[in-house]
Amino acid sequence: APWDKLPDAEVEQILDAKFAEGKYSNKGADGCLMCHKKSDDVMAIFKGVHGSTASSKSPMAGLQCEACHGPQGKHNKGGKEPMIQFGADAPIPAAKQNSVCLSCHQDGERMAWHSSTHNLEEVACASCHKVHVDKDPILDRVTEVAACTACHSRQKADMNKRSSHPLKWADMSCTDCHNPHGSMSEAALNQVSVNDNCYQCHAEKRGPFLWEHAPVTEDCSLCHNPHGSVNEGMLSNRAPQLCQQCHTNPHSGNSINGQPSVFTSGQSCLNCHSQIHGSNHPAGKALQR
Amino acid sequence: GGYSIQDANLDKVNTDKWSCKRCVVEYGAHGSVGVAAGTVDSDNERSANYFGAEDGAFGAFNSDLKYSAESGYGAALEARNLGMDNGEARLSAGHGDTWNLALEYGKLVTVKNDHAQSNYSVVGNGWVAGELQEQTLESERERYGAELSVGGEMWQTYANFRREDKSGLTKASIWGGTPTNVAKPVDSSTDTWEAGVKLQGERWFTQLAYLASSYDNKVDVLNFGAVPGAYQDAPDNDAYQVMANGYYSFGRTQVAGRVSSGEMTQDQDLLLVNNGLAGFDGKIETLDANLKLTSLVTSALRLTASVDYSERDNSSDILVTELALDPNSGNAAEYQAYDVDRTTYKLGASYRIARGYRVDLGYDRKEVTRSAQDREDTTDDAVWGRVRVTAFDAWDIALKGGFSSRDGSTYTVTGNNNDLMRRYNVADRDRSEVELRLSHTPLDRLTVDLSGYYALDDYDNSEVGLTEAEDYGFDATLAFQHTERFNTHLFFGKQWIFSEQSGSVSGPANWEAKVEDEFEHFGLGFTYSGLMAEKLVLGGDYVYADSNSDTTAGFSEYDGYFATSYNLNLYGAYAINPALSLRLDYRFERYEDADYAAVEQDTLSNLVTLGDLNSDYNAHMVMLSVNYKL
Repeated sequence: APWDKLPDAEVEQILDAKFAEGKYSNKGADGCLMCHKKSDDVMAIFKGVHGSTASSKSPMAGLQCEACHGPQGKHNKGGKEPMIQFGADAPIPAAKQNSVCLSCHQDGERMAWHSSTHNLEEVACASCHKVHVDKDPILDRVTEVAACTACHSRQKADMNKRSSHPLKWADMSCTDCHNPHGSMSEAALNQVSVNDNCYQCHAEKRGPFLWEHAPVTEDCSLCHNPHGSVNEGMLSNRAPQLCQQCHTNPHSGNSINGQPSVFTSGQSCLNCHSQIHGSNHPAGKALQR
Repeated sequence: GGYSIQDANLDKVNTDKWSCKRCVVEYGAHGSVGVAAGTVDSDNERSANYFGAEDGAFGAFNSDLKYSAESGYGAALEARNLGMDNGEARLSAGHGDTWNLALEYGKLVTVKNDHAQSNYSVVGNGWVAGELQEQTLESERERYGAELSVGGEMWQTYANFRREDKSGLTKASIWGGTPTNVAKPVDSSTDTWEAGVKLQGERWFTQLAYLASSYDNKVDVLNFGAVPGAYQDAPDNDAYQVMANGYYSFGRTQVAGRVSSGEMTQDQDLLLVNNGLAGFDGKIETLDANLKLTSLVTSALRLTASVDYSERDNSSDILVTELALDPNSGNAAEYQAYDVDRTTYKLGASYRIARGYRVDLGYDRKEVTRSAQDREDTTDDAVWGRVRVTAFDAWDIALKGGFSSRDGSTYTVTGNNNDLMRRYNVADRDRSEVELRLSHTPLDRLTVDLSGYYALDDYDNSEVGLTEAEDYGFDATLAFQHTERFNTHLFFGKQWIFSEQSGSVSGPANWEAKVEDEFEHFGLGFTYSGLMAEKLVLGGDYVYADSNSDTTAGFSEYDGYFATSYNLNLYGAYAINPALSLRLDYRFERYEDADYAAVEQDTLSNLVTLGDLNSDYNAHMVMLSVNYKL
């Protein structure tokens, strides 16, 4: 665009002034499309909800193109004056771009946006979302996992480890557990607590059991790394070492060498203490049945 | 300071001549629908996790269909790999502004191992001994859901229901006599309901929601041969939460809050074993509340603050007729109710020094109170800071560092653990971490992302228990758009996780164990489009991953524990005409793992295992898809 050579700050200043002045066009979208209808990318807006005129909440049913791209001003006089642009490479700060989207999308899903990591990291909505399309690709779970892991590279590594949730082939997606727009819970989780999140699919661990294992009731992530691990069961360490990090009584406190034995082979400590998440057997205090 | 509709200057807007004649809104049906058929050649069903199908032929239905009418009504049918082991579909219909209805279905099969060996299989309500046979440890989850929402200009109500049926076989073990590893049946259903009402204005939002979940396990108490009640599977349970939340924007300042109150209950009849425990009504009451505040104090300074409170109150009732004894120690088996209260405070500031230079600073404090554990109170204090520089063309650089320290009230060792034992989740701990992220775009068509990280957990006051953990590594990604039609991407990374622990039955540590985990992965992908007069697209992806863990305890080194995988997907998509296209996929998996614990059934006289569970296989899949575009 002609304003690409201007410093970002200057473009922002012009847009601020244009926005305050509020000089909207005489013809709305019809005026814009006189030039822009040649672009398939522009016209693709009419395939999706943002281009629908049937919904009263759609921008096309309101201020049309200028609802998002700001008042036209003198842009139609030779196309040299900038309009509001979106995306990671756009000249205006993410917060200002996002204020446009949040005009309509300030709902339950995004109520914690302002305190979310993505907002504080200045991620633009348009870095992940596309509006000028039939269907926003990020809403497809295959593209979603790829998009998230483009930045979250450690989680990408984790999902390729020996054990992980089935994110690698997109049979699960990041948004099954997290809300990328932030949430009222820690780590932007969808549910109230870490454990509530796990119980969504692992309700059998919820109990309450007659005999509880204290760390299990407190936080699943004390023993498991939900993003993946080099150990089976997404365990941060494996038995017997993991168990010995908390239990050193006369039965469990001895050094266990690597030779095949009832302590190291099969299911290790869980050969006997198989109900490690809690037991409901009256004689199950030691989590053995 | 933004461009929101609410802040727009609409005084001069005159829409009299706005007709949208050039708007080409597409009504009617559009999208695509397709069928696929293929075959898998594999002698290890674990490959189904990648292929979504087991050895032999398979078929699938795919759809991305949408219908929209000028009146605002619409419908959609989305399906991915429906008919395969891992597939799903969603049918939705509604009128954008007023009501929407959706039905969904999904299936997910996870194969852990297809060659577990056992003499025991479950017949009726117990394991029965028989011939040694191979069993497949796998789970199948099948979910059905329905969603309904009805709304107006400023309000919306919704109700969702989901059922997930889970079946299959999983690893378990029978205690007593000779511990015996067995395959345990899984057969359960979880129902989830959610309903609520949302209200919103230009600068506020509020919601009242009810969430409930009910777990129904068809597997109850299992006998083991002649031993009655050898294994008690997870009891049925119920849970609900009532939640209220809200948000308000004062312009430059936003505040959001939530209160959630819930219960988790379980009252399954106890097995009668005449040890004095006659009844149990499990009940956990939970209360969670939080408040988050952000304020753009000036255009360069943003302040954030939050407080989160969470309470788990165990108010279960237990009916004890006489003192029960612990089967191992002979001590009284006293019921223990665990309560946990947690409060987290966070303060943060983000300051823009100049355009393209930003500094973030934060302080977090977490206070936890636990009952019936080694330590009643723990406190975590953390400070962190970050510098991000985006001022240079083609560079985005961020350096983050943090330090946190946990301590707490007097440590009292419970049970008959070593007095010097410090459990890692409540022990004193100092954590230091640093992370560097670089993103560089040397050419318009080339992006290079690099990240490196290091973290050290030091349990300085733990003489026995976990004493130190280290985690460091790097990741690199290159994305190269060679031409308009040809692009490639490449990634690789490596990670090291080390942990050290000390042990002793009593007195100072007399043994140490060290675990060294290493992980590396590498991936390469390409797409080439526009071939054969814009009719052919070729693409491919290759991922290599290797997980390895070495354990040394005392002077003894454990045997191998690793998993190595190679996955390849090559495809070609050919457009016969603008509507009809064909796609041929070839997938390959090479997988090998080893685990020192997976020993043959008869290796040990005092343990019956499920045999050698290690895998080593090559598997192939070919799939042809036909896609029709409406």
